[in-house]
Amino acid sequence: MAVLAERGDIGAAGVAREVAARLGGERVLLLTPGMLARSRWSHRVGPDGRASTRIVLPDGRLLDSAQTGAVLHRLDRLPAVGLRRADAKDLAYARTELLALLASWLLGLGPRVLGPVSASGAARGSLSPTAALAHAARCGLPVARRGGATRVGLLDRPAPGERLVPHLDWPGGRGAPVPADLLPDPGAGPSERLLLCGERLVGALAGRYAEPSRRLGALLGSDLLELRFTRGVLAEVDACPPLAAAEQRSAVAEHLVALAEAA
Amino acid sequence: MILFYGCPDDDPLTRAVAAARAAGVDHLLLDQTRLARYDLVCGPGLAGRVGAEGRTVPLDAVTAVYARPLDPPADRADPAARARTAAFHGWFTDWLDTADALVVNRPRAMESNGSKPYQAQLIARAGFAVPDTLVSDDPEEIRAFHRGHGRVVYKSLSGIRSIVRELTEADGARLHLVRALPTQFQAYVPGRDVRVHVVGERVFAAAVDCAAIDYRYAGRDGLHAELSRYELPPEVAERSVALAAGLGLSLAGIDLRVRPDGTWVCFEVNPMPAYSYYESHTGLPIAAALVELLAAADLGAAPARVEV
Repeated sequence: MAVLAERGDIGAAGVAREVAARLGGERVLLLTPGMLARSRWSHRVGPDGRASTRIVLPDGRLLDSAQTGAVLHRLDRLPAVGLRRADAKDLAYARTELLALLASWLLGLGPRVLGPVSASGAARGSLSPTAALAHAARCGLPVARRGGATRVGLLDRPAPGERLVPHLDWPGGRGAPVPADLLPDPGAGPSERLLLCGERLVGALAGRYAEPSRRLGALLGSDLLELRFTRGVLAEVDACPPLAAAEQRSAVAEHLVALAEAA
Repeated sequence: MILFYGCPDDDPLTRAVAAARAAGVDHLLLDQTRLARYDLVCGPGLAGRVGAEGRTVPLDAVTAVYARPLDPPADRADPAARARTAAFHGWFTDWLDTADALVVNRPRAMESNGSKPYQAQLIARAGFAVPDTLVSDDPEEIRAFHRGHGRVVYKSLSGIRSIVRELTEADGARLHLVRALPTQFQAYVPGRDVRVHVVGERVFAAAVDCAAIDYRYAGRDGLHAELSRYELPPEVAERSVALAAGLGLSLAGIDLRVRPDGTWVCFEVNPMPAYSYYESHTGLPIAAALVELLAAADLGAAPARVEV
């Protein structure tokens, strides 16, 4: 089993510890972007579309897709460690190529991956916070107002719990010819976090929003999401939640163990 | 109301706009080079609207969009204008992903060719064979793959455009460079190229006869690509429509090759196809079909709307 996370990702490290306690430490690999970038890769896609991947880690251990029980994906980047002398354009190309490889590896693992799998390779993907809320509204969740206008004066004045954020410091107040965001203010009242992990919901609002949350996960292509509610409405969707609560980490660890046992 | 979004020097966009004008379809062109002059309000809970070229259109009155978003022009002297351009582009492409309208194509649906081996797995699920592919940073493994297939090509594995090249004996001396970056190699597939454009449920196929490995760049090798209309076998046409639909694409450019034994291989699906090249060489009425698709959505008779 592998947990793909940045070195300072405390939530991922906690999940890895819990999985290790359940399955044994030797069965869990906590892999950072640097480790994956320094690994040797062999990724095959056959004429029938079946993918197989062998990754030899820097310490010589082998991660074979045929033997991989489950993967928690929380990465947004892989560094191009082999091209230190390359110019900025080539480095950007290399990083994009590595993410494309990561994406194909993860897709080939099928349902054994927890977290978003897309061609971008990045766990947070390209979905903006505003688009995530728009999708959530379509799934039946109550959502905060969030959006923007190309001129400040085109937006209503912010209601309680909202804030107006011009993109540039510009004179003229509401007449300023600069774009502005209308954002929910996360500090503006009581808040709740709801974690979607597989089919399970963790949090005080689980009973109320289970089905629309699952619909949102299906729409966004991820079975791991955190929904953050402020003043009773959804203000933010996080595709790579911090897993700050012990209950959340336990749910994720349990799910990974179940995936591994089913594989 | 149909919106067109893109740059005025982009031939696929201008052909579609011209077709809409010729068909008398109500439309508004959002010119990416003029975004600083436009207004946009959008986001959940807001009264979304776009103001451009003297018109204001509520976003919920938009029934169809053909978008070819390119990098917006940069370096305007006026920082406020620069900020409005960037904000318009960001919010509008956000809206394309969530709008109730028929969007050709939604940005998220267009992501699949950001990773070619990723997309190859999806292509195979739709029933097409794909080239045997190896991504590796091991020169010995690549040499073995080469020996096994006889002829091998290499290209980028991400969505960054690259010229497809054949791996030759001369490349052997620099094959160690793959140690720095895993590189994609594919078995060479002999046969004739056929480019298929799927527009909704209609297909337009063009055969491409060319001696170059990558016909798009034939001129660089002093070669010439000859394009002609092609009649697809019905089952291949159906599979192409199903493939595009499965990827959430109402318009797709599908790169196929028919082998000498008559079997078909799919290389990739382009979600923002430059169909104008094929249309101008063959007369295939792709722009007109695209506008018919968009206008059908205008009349409420659109095919199932793309969900991402």
